[in-house]
Amino acid sequence: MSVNLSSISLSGIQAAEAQIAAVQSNIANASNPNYSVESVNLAALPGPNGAGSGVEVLGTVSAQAPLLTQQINQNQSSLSFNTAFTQVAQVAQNTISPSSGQTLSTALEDLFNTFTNLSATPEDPTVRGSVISAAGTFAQTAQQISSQLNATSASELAGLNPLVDQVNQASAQLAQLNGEITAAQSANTGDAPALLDQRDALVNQLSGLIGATADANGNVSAGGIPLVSGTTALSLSTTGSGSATGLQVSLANGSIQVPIGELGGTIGGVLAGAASVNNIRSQLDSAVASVATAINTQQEAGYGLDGSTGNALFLIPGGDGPIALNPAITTQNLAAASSAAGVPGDGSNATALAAISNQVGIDAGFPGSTPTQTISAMLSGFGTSLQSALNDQTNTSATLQSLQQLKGSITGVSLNDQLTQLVQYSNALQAAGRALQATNDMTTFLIQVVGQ
Amino acid sequence: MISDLSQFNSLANSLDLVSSNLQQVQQQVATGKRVNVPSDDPVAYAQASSLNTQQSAVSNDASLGTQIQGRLNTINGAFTAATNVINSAIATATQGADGSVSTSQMAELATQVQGGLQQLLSAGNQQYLNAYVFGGNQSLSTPFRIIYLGSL
Repeated sequence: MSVNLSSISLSGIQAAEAQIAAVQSNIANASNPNYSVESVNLAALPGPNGAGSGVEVLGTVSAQAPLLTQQINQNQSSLSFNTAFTQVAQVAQNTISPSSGQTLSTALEDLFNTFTNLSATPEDPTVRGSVISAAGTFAQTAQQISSQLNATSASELAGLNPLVDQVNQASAQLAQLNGEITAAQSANTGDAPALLDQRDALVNQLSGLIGATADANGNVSAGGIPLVSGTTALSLSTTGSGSATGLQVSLANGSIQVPIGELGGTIGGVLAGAASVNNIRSQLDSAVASVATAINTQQEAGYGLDGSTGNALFLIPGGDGPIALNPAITTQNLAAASSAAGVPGDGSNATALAAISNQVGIDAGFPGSTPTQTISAMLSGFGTSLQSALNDQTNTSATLQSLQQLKGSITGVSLNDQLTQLVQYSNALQAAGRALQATNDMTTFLIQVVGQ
Repeated sequence: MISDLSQFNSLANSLDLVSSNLQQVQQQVATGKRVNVPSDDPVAYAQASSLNTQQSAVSNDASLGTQIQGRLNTINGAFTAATNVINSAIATATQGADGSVSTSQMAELATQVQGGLQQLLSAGNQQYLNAYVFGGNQSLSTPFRIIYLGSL
């Protein structure tokens, strides 16, 4: 068995060309975040007498870091969740604790202060007027905060639809890619690495959007509900509205409700943020209603300058709706001052009204707190959840960054490295070329000798 | 081996973090407050708002105290006026007790007594912010009036 010298050199040239092509592709994609660095797998061809008979190009493969990719997706989901949550919660925080102007606490303090003033000069029409005006400001502030919080959560929930569209689009692309990857892998066309990179990018996008997870075959689920099974993508849609907003996936024979509490990503964050805004709104509404009820009860026990009694200062709707000032109240029938008819100088009922400011447990949920302490405890509780989300956001961002750096060191493109390899492969190509030339010279020489 | 892209990303992330920290510090410097919103420090926020409530009540009490002092000054003025009237009434009575006082002098003393009575009435009916200071719970009704039992 003879050795085919030219085919050995030719295989070397082909190997070097494949390697140079891989390096060129790597350099071209150096700034593509979804690209995994590619390299060429080679195998030595066995030959007679122990010497090899050349090199075989097995294929181009891309570097993979499946465990890191999975962790990155988890952190991406958590980061997007916290980012969306803090954005919603910060808007609400500016509503309940504005940097300037009237807050719910200051409005309530002002109202109690006017009751104290009224107890000193119960018959003074100016002071009586200031009580009504402070009560109006308190009711109006409570109304504004309640309706602004409602608007915040409604507008955030309305923003879900474009996000759901993005999820559906990514799911559909991913399902299509799953089919293309299976085809490329079975036909060994060499397209698989690029397609896998594309699929990884889509899974990462879905993790950020809805906290989706994927298995090695590209089946994607979110909150335990499948979004992509093989080459089939299930369509996600929103249901209900306001605080009852939910998500479902449509199947051929019906639909499954997605457990929204288990979702991550931006969509999970928006839903959790809106739920938290609804929660603080309902807490504040209930605190306002309970203090307004206590004031009404005491106020109705008193007598106005006109001798009337049983007049309510606030109108309190059922449920957790916002309160309003009773439009029928005037400086004459404001019954805040006297505890009996016909004694305009008696301020004992006003003293009792002012004492409500120190009464604890008016809101059953806060048994040891005065009305203003209850409100500040609610704001502080809301602040705690926002603070923890902000801290999570910072920490997750740092973790994600170091994970990405770690993954980058495996799958990313280092230009220094690629340039070194380029020189190495060019040299290999030149050397193989020279070897081919030598074979050619030798063959020409032999033909001349034999021909003579 | 660190990829070039992750080096750039890492740099960009660090810049983001620094600029966000800077923004927070600038906010603190601009407002002069460490805690501007509940999420800055929830516990400190709750304490601060509890103290704010107390401060608001105390400052209201202080201005109410000033107003009550005004009422006490009115009462004090009324008492001083009443004391003067009574002192001058004693002097008038002493003067009138003298047997050598003529009828015309008596009539003059009677006029003085009547004037004193009016001054006493006015002191008793002193008002502060439209309320009669000696009116008790009936602060909108005139507490004193003169009822003549005999003719002068």
